[in-house]
Amino acid sequence: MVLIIFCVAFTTLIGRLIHIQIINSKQLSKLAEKQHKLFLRLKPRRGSIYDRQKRVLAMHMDAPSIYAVPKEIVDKEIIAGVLAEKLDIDRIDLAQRLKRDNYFVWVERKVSPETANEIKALGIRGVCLMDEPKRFYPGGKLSCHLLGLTGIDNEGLEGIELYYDRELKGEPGWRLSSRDAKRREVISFQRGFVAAREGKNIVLTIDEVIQHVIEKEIEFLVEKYRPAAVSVIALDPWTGEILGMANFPWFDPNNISGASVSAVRNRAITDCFEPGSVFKIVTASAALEEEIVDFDSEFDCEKGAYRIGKRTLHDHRPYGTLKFSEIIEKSSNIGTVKVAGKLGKKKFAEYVKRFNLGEVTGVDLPGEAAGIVRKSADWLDVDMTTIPMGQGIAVTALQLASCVSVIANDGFLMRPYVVRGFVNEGGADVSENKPKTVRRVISKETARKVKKLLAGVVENGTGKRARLENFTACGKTGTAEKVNPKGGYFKNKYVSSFIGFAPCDKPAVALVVCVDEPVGEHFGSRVAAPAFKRMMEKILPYLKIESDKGEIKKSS
Amino acid sequence: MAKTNFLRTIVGITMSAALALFYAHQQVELVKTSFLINKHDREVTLLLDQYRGLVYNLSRLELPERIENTLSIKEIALCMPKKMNMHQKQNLKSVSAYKL
Repeated sequence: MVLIIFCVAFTTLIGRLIHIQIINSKQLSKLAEKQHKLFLRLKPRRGSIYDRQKRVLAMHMDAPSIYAVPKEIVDKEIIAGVLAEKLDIDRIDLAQRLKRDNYFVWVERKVSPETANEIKALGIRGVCLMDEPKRFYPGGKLSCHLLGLTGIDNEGLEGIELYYDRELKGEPGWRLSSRDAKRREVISFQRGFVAAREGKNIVLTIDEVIQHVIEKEIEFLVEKYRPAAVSVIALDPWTGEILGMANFPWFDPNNISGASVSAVRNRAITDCFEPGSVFKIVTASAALEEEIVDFDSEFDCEKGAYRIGKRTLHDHRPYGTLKFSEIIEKSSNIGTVKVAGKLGKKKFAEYVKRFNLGEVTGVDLPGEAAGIVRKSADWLDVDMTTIPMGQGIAVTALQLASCVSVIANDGFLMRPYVVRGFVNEGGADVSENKPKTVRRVISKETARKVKKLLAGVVENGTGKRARLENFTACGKTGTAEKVNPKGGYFKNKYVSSFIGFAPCDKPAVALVVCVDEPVGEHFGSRVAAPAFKRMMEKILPYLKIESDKGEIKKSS
Repeated sequence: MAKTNFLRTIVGITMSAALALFYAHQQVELVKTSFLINKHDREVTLLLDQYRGLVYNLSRLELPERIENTLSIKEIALCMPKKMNMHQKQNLKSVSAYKL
């Protein structure tokens, strides 16, 4: 009897074994595989962004995100109401999302730790938390236009974040592993693994302190002149490294919900404007390079009104006969146009091109405008009475910075750039961006002559308010009427500007200040030139540049 | 002869059982190690998060704007250092480079 029972049981077991191992094996293997297999996508860490001293400007940290499992939530309307109130989001929209018959719905992503704790404390079944990487900018609005911003999935949307998105975001990896009955990963039974390639860390050419000095000055200008916009660029003229670049209006990349599209735009590279008298440095450089004039060449400035065809040119003050150096110092439009006339259209247009106007500078930032310079073949005779003094063409603030750097560095056009190189997690250099010379624009001798002219502008001319206490400086003021889109020019809207560098002999910094529609004052000599002085007097001592005007007298 | 066969069978079964036990033990050890790795991984993630949080806070504390405001609140005026002191600062640079 026992033997019979034993045989039956044994046969049954064998039968079951055959059923599992042979007949049903494929289906069961599939099921087991599905239950045990765990495929993990490994997200790469987005690289950090540092200033030239390796101070953190942008980094990522984990932020809690709230999600729901609608299938587990019983009273969806009530839960939607509670969550909407806590998170300050639309209740109806959330309720609709929770009504979906699925296992995953985002409730709110990247909330503050305090909010996450509050939600956790509610202990609602089906409402869970998970960590997601979020971009943080410790400086808030500091260098916001340069850094740009990222979207909810950490993709670059503006600025460096967009231009270097590929390098910053890295490449995802994966891991094929096994999991136990409690869905925990059993890493020892890993079946395949490709490591995520972390994003590269970027070191910028900008200096946090110089950037702060610029932004502080912009704050002052905004308070005093209530302008529509301001752009300031500080450049190392020898290398093309951008030491600082800021615009107003600005935004806080940590909180972009309230930022307008106009505030996010990097005006220093996207907005074109007629440069006005600051453009006279191009005319002067061309005339000196072609040896059409020397410092003492005299021109009749027609007592402030000069009629050419149907057009009458005016100077802001009536001048009689002026030497070429005085024409630049006093910023005489009539004198400049006469100098350009002597140079000729063809030669002048050639220099406009050599200074790279009408072309992008090639800066490593997205959305750069090329400016507006018509082909020289299309220039009319009247253009030779406007373009030499900066009317009838449009440039960006960065192009002006590039132009003034040519004078500062003895004649070379350098490609401006903002990324110095890439570093690894330990801070060691991985690769480096080198300065790039585009071309020689003018000879060293001509550059030295133009420097002398521009030093005269600051010492005796329209740029007196840019004169520095402890350093020599070169510069040129500009006051341009704004173009009316309906035709002609606005009579009460101006762009005040100043471009310059210091010290004269060995320039350390080239600076461009553009103030759009200042209220109260509008002359570049009164609005932008003092701003240049205030910034330079802080930047030069910070860079440990020795005074070239005797002992340093004043604290900065 | 029968006794020898019986002994061989017993030894065989014992050895098989021992091997099976050893195999099971190794598998359990593997799983234990997995959990240990996971635990350490979580700890590393947590520490890295804390580190990043500290770096963020440090960056905020070192912001020029914050330093400027603190100096202004405490009414501390700055002046240009003497050349001698500037040399000392340059020497200190190597310390800050080490810190980085």
